[in-house]
Amino acid sequence: MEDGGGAGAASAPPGVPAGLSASQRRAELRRRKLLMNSEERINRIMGFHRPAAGKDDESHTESRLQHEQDKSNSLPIPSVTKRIVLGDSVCNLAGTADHAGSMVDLKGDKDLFSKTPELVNEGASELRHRNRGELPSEAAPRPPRHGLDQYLSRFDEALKLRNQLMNEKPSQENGNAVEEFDSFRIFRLVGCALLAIAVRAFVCKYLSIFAPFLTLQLAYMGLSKYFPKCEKKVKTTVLTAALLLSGIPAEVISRSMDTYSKMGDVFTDLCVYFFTFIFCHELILVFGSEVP
Amino acid sequence: MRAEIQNMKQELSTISMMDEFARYARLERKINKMTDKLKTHVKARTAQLAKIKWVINIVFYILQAALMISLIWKYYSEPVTVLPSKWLAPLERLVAFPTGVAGGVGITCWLVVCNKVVAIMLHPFS
Repeated sequence: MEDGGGAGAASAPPGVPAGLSASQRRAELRRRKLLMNSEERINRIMGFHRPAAGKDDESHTESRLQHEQDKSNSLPIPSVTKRIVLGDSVCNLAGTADHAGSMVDLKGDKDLFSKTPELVNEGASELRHRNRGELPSEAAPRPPRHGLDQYLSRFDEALKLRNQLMNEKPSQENGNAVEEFDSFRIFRLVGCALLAIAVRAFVCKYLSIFAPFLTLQLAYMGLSKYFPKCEKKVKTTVLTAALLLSGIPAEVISRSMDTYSKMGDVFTDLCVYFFTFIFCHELILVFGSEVP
Repeated sequence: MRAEIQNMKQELSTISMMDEFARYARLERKINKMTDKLKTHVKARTAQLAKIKWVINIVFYILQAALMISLIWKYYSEPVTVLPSKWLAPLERLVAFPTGVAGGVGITCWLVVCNKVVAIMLHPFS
């Protein structure tokens, strides 16, 4: 555990300006260290201990640490030492797991997600510290750690899919309102409405109204290749995450979601088609003299 | 509270860290404490808003369901419109459910269709 005070004299740490003499550098380091630890001290004075602070504060502390690091733009070591001094290794790991569990419900916090492996590594390094240090009896027992690893590996898979989906999102977010109503969808709906009008006017006397609709759907299946591939916004719901965590491969889930959305599209088309057809029929009955 | 934090931050920026360290640290702690308090308030308010929204949604869905059930209950035997049955082949029975009238469009089917169409029409505004 290196506190940075003594090391400052030997080599210049990243955040300290290079032009200072050794004593000035040491003074600067000491001052920064004091500043970084001010919050910790006030917590001690006020009686907030790390385990009692609860797991809820974990993410909060993380964000604050991040903030402090951004602010000072240097000295990452004190923040780590603070964790080691204050934190209990078992508690910290549990906090990590809890963090991971709660992250399933979090929406779109990409940075937070990308931090997870670091957190795990940090937890592991803390364990190492503890094992070498004075309190080896506090180290986490082996079997839960194994379960945690298994869980985390699955969680990583879920994160990969989520990140993949998040990467797809920005391209769609250019037009927020037209996000789901892409050109092909509008084309489909308009085509269905026009076909319904045409069918009511000319075809329905000779044929079932669903036959032209099916033909139109076949045509759409062929035409979809010629429209810009606008990926459907796959809803990353809790259900998706739960399916992923239960061990179903991501590919199977995405494929079934794709099929499901296609069926939904056809049903939407059918509704529009049928509604327009009935609407036209009623209009003809009201204004025209045609009797079916 | 936000304004207060801003003010304190401004004050903090005017204080020299080197010369008046104690004052600086005290103020920084104060800012941290206040920020925590603000976050708690914001969290509580967001939770309350979400709860209200959820309740309104639930009430709306219940009303909608009640309206649909009452409509189906009242008009279950009357078709919305009647078409020649061969126009709707081979789904004429499904479309006519629960009226049983050949070529009729049942209230259930019509409600489903209308729901979907209205949802599509309202989509750009939601």
